[in-house]
Amino acid sequence: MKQKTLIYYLLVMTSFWQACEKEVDLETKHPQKLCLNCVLNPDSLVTAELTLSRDINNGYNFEPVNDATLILYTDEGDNDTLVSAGNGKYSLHYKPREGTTYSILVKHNTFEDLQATATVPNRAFVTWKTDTTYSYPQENKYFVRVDMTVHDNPDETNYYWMKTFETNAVFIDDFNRDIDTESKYGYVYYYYLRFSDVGYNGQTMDLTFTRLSGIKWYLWSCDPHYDKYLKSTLKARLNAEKDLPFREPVQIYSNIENGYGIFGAVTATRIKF
Amino acid sequence: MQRLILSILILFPLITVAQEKFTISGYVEDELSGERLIGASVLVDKARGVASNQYGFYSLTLPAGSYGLACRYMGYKPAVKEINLSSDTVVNISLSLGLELKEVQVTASKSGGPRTASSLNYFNPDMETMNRIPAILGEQDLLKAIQFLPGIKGGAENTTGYSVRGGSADQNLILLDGVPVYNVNHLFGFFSVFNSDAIKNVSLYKGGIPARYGGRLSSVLDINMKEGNMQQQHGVLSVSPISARMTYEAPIVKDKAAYIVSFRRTMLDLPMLLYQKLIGLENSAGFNFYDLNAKANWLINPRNRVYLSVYSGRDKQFSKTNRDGINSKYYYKWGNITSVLRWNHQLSSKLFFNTSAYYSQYDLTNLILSKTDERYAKYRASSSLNDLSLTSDMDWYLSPSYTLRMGGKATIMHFAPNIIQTIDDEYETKRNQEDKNTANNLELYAENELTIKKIRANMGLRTVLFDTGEKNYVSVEPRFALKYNADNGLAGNIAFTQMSQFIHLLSNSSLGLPTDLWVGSTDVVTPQKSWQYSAGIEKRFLDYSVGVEAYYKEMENVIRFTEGAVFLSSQNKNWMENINVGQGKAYGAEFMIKKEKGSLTGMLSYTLAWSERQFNEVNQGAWFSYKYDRRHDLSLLGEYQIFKSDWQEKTFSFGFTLQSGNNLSIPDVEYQGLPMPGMEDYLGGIPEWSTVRQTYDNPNNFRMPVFHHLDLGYSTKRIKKQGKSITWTFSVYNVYNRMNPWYYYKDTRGKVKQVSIFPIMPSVSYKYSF
Repeated sequence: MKQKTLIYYLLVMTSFWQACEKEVDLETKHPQKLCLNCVLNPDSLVTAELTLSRDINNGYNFEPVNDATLILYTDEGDNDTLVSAGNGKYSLHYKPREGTTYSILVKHNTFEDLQATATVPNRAFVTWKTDTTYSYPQENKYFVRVDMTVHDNPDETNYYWMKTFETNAVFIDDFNRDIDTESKYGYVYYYYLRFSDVGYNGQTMDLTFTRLSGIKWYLWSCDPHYDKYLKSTLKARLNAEKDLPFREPVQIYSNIENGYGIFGAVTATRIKF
Repeated sequence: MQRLILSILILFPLITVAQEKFTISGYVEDELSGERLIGASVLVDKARGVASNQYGFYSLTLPAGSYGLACRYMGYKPAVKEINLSSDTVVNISLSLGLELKEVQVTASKSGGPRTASSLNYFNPDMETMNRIPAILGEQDLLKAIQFLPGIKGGAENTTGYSVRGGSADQNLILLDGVPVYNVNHLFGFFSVFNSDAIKNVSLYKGGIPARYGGRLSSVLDINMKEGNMQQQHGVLSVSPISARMTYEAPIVKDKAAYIVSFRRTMLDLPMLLYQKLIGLENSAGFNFYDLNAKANWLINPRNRVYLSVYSGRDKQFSKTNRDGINSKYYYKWGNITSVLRWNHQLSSKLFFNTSAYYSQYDLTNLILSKTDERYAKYRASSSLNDLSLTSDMDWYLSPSYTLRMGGKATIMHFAPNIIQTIDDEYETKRNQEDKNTANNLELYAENELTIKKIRANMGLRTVLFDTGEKNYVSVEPRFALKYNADNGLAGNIAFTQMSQFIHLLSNSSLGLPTDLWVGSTDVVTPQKSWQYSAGIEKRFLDYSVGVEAYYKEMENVIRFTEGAVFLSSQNKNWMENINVGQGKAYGAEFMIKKEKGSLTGMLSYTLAWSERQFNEVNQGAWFSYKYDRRHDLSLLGEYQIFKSDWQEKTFSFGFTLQSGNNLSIPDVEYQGLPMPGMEDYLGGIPEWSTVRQTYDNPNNFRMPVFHHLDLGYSTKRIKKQGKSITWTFSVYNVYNRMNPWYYYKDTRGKVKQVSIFPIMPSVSYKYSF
């Protein structure tokens, strides 16, 4: 907020200009394309959702596509066809395996074929210890200081995501960090922590943070496509929240050839504090 | 084959004719101030002559005999001397200000400059003229003025970032007294750091760039500061609505040593601070910037001269609050320091050496302090780039038709990106110390300037070794420019320029933001390269010159930032994850008509241009328009001298530009999004933003409406006794109040709003010279 105020102040002071603002209609005719959303998770059956894109600000619901054929291939040569469950949803009674590479092919009579590939990452190995910092006995809640160690898998490039807002580990991606003088370290991370093993491959990575006890907690290990999709989504969100005059829009990452959406993979490591 | 061509480029010109010859050498300087004049033409006949170099030195080697030595320089009366050449002779030429044949030359290049360059590849504008171009809020700005030139396009309206022939803003090498300036922006790019009162000479190369320059892909802007008046004290006091400027120059020892000091400070913060004081606010906030230029030179003897030049400029944005017992202090400041110690040494009448040691620094600091009786917190983030270089150049005037230039540069660059310190009652944390790194650069060049009858050629080679500490890069860059001058005023030229760029600007905006950082090439992000081919013809007739030039430029390893870096956020230390590396191409044609003499002078130019980029990760690998891809660009710049006498000058000036609109990336499609992980546990349900994605297929998918504005200026100069003068300049920017869009945004109702921030703006500025 402080930054925003200052920037507007600067704009005004710079040349005493009178900003002139008017509402405009931008031509945004855009051909419809298929949007496939499918993230493989070894803990869940394969599910996918197929919808149509639309011009920006042109309605509230996305039109589901039920008459497509979705085929999932493994790197071992197997393939299975997902079954339509209506409302654009498709599923397969199959749980993807860690370390396996999958491809998906979507065929539809009207639209171009969609294709994408993703490899399911191995589950992250995490150790931790906790220490109570302060408690609220009347609510039967207490905060714990968590010292967590992520033991990185040296055989793959890992992209980790977790929901914590204050930590001072040096390897955390700072794309969503912002200054907050009232926080413990002088800054906070919005929504998630993201870090990768680039520069730390096969090593251990230590994080310290404080959390409320009794809430289930996850460390997600994402494949590169899902990681980029999450990061671009969060950047877009932050961009919208900042509401700054010079912002530039974010292009959401997609690995779907001829369409939109994401075909990615994730494994979740549950952490119990 | 390539080696053979390179050898020819270097060795062929060494063929010279043996005959008893003598050399006329010396300096060309201003009669009143002793200021050396760059690019003055020194001629013995129409075909034989040289241009004075960057330090005013010239050398002509001729057979024994009698010659009429003529010297010309724009805005000065020509000088002619009869020389009976029977031995090596030193002739220093002093030119006095004045107009030849009652003519005025406006927007014309000076008579000198590279003799192979076309007037569309090279500009050497007169600073007096540049200072009369109508300027927004009366603040003359070199980097905005050059945006009227063909092939040069600005970014957002009234900002200093510019693109040359389809390149990006960071591909322009900007030198101040030979020292690279790494951030040329004040106030987020609305003004440049160059104080027009302290500038003596400007050279701008868009193509056919000589081998003595390197390090950026697209252009070179070489700015020289004034040196200081050797004869008498002189000063300028200027005031505009934006800033106040003071320049003072004087001899230290007459004809031996002199200095100049120029200071500029914005006045933007003063009304606000005064208001805050008057209403008794405990909180304060503001913004200011300043520039300080200082230069001294000492003529040790006719063969040796030493210069010391310093520039320091800084922007500061600040706020202080005291609320509920919490004292908070915030500032963001950034700036450059450049300094150079230069030694000119004339080894012989034919050999001129220039040796310099320079230091250039850019740094930015963000500090937040929060203090109460119980706790204390401090956050400090800083980034810096330090460039320490030693350069040596030699000009060897072998004959009037052949000059050999050679030189080299050794550089140590130290990068310290985003060094963070946080302190509170319990912790002190320092971060990113490991990201500090150093790169070394070694550059060598040879440049041959030849005249063979009607053909003039500049052939050169530049080699660069860039050592990142982990990886070495070697670049070999041939340069070639050739010009044919027919007797009828018709000239044709062709040029080839290969350039490399080893440092990259981390920026995702066309604005000059303080967070923009330079980083060196790495083993992942390899150096950028470009190959530019250009060809053109020009014709001079009566008071006019007309030219057309076509160019084609290919670029390799160009960088594009993934979008969404938040304004004023810290830079990501994993910057390599946030970039795409691809290729670019730009091509087009530039047309120009200049009227160089008479009461009405000016330039009309038109550029038809394309600029495209390709990245494997973007737009499914297909080419797309670059943000500076403006198809049409028409500019008119002119001046009409209403009245001129020994005691008064009145001038009317005008500038008009009509361009295709800027390109923007605007989301034009939306599709169903997958909720972020863990959001299913949210108490209020999955937030709507997580279920919809708004995006676009190809960047720069939206072209803004046509951009145009007309600016008018009127300048009246009253000349008093003892060289004193008062100049009032009135200007109106955007006379017909064209609301050119500056940016777009969506309001809370989802409606798109267009914001224009430069309506009609009258202004007045005042200048007192003494």
